Amino acid sequence: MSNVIELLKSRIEIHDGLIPAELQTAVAALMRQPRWAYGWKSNSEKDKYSFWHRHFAGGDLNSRVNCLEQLRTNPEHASVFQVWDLLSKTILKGHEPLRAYGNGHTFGCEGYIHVDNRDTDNYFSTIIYTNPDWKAPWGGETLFYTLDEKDIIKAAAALPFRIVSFPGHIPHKANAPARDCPHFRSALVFKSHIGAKHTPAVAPALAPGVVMPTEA
Amino acid sequence: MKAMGNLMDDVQIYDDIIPKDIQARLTATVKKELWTYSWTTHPDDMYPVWGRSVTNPIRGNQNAEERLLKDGHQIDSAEIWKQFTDTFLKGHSLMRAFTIGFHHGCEGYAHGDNTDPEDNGVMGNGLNLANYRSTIIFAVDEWKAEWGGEMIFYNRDQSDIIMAVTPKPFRVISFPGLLPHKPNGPTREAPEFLPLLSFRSKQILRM
Repeated sequence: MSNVIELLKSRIEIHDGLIPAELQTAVAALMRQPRWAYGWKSNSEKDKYSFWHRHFAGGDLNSRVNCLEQLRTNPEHASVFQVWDLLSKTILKGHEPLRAYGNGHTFGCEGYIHVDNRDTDNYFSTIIYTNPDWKAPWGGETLFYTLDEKDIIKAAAALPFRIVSFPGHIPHKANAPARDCPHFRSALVFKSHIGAKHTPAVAPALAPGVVMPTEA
Repeated sequence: MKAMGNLMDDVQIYDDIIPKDIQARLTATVKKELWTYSWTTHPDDMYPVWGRSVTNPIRGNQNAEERLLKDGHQIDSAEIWKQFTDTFLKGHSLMRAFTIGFHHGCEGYAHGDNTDPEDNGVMGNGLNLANYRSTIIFAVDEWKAEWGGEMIFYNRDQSDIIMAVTPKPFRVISFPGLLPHKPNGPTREAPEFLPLLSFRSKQILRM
């Protein structure tokens, strides 16, 4: 396996057991609220089919504005801020939040392969799977691809409150739940970058021809 | 006993090993009216998938090659099996061969193909009694990663994913039959049926 692929794989971090049970319960309750809208696409120009979405904080795909205040001051989404607060003190130390939202998928409804941002140095995506009950064979895994999007380099099962954090330029796709999965698969997503005081990480350049999302 | 990490290392992926003429014949064959929607990987599976037997299951240490040579021409599988036993499945006896197929909305369940301890060298004490392998070919001449149909491999208790392999035209995956795995269904974007040709085989290492 090439060094580039090994490097990409090493930068996809999986963390289990980081979110306390009480906060898990609060987030799971938030994700069960009737606040979802169908019609979201990872790439509005390229993708034919949509999935479910709800917005919590921040701007659009290209926004590089810190949305911490928006997160912190919205009591309706207090648990989202608490999760961010935890991440910013642990695996995302030095990061500023740019966006926070929820994505949702059911059987027959999956995402497309896409990248979250063209920035190869300092743009990060962090997914928290928010189903309190999930079995790996129920599907809904996130698959990560080579930069040319032709082969899988890593897979992450959507296990309860598992956190997957990765550079936003790595192509990825949310798979649909399996047909024997009785649940809506929901995920809380944060987009972030490292603040000016911190040194950005170095990442492999985006492959030529990789399609960028217009909305994610 | 083989650790799961070792089993994952034992998942072999081969691209571009099926000769073009066999690819063309196999592509034509799997488009024929030969499928039945009644195939399950386990009797408890709620939903079936498309499938077709090439050779019936063989018990014990019998060899299904004779039947494959007699009936395998239906699926163009005899030549492929010979190629495998000349290369990465040297010394293996065929236990069965079949096709299985998926389209959007139709996927497999997580399962192991053979959990018999004697067939998998998991009797303890590090004894490797036999080497039971499953070998599948994605029998398509065109496939995009976007179309799904990945083969997902799990740890022994199926509590987590250890590996995923995207289908590619005539990509071959050979893996220990003990290793839990699930063929994902194609995505709603996939315009094609995803047929797999599957061989189950065993190499007797120690009686």
